[in-house]
Amino acid sequence: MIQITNASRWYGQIIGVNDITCEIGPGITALLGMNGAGKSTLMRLITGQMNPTTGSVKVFGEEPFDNPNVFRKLGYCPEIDNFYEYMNGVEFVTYMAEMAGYSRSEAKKRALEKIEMVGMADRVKKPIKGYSKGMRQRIKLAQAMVHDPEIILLDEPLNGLDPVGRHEFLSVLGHLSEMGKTIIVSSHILYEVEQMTRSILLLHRGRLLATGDLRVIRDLIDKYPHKVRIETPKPREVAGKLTQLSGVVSAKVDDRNEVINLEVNNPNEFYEVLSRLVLEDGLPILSFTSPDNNLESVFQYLVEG
Amino acid sequence: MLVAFRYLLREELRFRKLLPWLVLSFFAFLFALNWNRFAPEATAVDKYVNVINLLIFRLLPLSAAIYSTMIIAQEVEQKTIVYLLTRPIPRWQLIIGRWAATATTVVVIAGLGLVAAHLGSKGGMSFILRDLLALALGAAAYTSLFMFITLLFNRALIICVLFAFGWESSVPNLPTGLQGLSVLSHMQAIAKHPDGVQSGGQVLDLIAGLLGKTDMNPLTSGFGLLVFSVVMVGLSAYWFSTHEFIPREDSE
Repeated sequence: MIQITNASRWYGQIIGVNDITCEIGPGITALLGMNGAGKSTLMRLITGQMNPTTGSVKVFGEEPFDNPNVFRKLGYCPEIDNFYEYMNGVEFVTYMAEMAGYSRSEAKKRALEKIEMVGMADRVKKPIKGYSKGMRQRIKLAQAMVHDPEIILLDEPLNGLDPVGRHEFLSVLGHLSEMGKTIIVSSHILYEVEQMTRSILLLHRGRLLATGDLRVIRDLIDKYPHKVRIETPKPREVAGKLTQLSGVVSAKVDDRNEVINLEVNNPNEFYEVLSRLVLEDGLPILSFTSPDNNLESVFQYLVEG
Repeated sequence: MLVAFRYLLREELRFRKLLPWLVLSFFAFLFALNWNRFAPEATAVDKYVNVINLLIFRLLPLSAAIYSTMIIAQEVEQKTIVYLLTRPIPRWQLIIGRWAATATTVVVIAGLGLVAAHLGSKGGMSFILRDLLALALGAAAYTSLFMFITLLFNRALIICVLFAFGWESSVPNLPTGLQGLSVLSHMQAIAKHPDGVQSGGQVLDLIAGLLGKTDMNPLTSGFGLLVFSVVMVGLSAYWFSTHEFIPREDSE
């Protein structure tokens, strides 16, 4: 459906995406990368807002720039939070449906259907300027789906959604995916992506770093010791007990004598044992976090090894 | 194209956006009503013609400049352009539909002023249709020119206002021959107001762009403005269809 061949895009001296080649088919694919990785540039190339400087981007075998044939089958939910604020949700989505070629009555019917689908039916008569961030995200999704496109691109769609909103949003995406749609979601949060799909395109500084199954990346990460940060009122006592565990490689107590920084080989096994020690032996732990569970660490592993 | 026309027209004709122009129309009405303070001997026709030349014709490029930014530049500025450019409507249709809406809005605004001038002066009935034609062709020319400028430059409104009040204030007052380079002169030629109208003095004539001698043929002027508008709209459609329009901070 989407073929990208050696596509690069420059903004003057700055490169947006660099020599990217990939194909994207039905199902949910996540564009994963830190801010500035080139996710939005790639989205804009696929949605025909801009042309590649070199290489080619084809959607259904056609170049998307100013191509109505492509836009009939493509819906785009941008990252921007801008609307025609004086309109209400129904008016905005109806406008977008009319721009997709539907008659006024058909457009309104479709708008109401999609608005209900994204869970906004009861609040949609208010002007958009009074909408919360979550409501605005839903309206953006509704306008992207209003003409029943085969491809839907969502740029950071979960930004600003509360947990309930996220859950509802993800179930809508799942439903669309089951209908055989091609869905491309960009995100810089690994945890978010894991909830949606295993199929990823990993971008870093404009380059396509990895494609395929997210589990492969996870396995790759597991080859290296994970960092775990534990906050406790008795760091030396707790560190003494934890270093006796088999997977623990090192333990350091910080200068303030409040935090232990551990390196562990098998994080899943370690977390299990840690829970048991807290529940059964009353190990005094206030909190624990894993700095490794962010995308930056994944990139460090992949880029630097 | 019709959808693009309808929605932009609706936005441009919102009461909040029209309010300043309604106030200016009321000002034109008061101006016509009190014209005898400038020229005690002025007839109803004198009052009408002077208000049209001094206010309505002069405010037309200003309204055209302001509304022309709504065609594309404001969408880019507000980042809502992305919604329009990812719809199955060719870009040339989108821009022509939106230009037509803007030209219509500018004619409506000028029409309000025309009516106000007529009501205030209680004269000029026989000129209204010609004036409306001059305003319509002028609106088409100004909006198409300004639309093209907004596609080319980032701070286009400044350029458009400079054109409206710099170029259009000076060129019509120059000797015959150069007046053909001004839209206002062509509008004056189409309107063909009678000779011998008692003016409000040299300063007001200078502001109205009446110091130059207008001996242009109304038909030639009308045709000229029409051709100019078509060429500018064509150029704009070509430019818009072949260039990227991405919100500024996103394109860097």
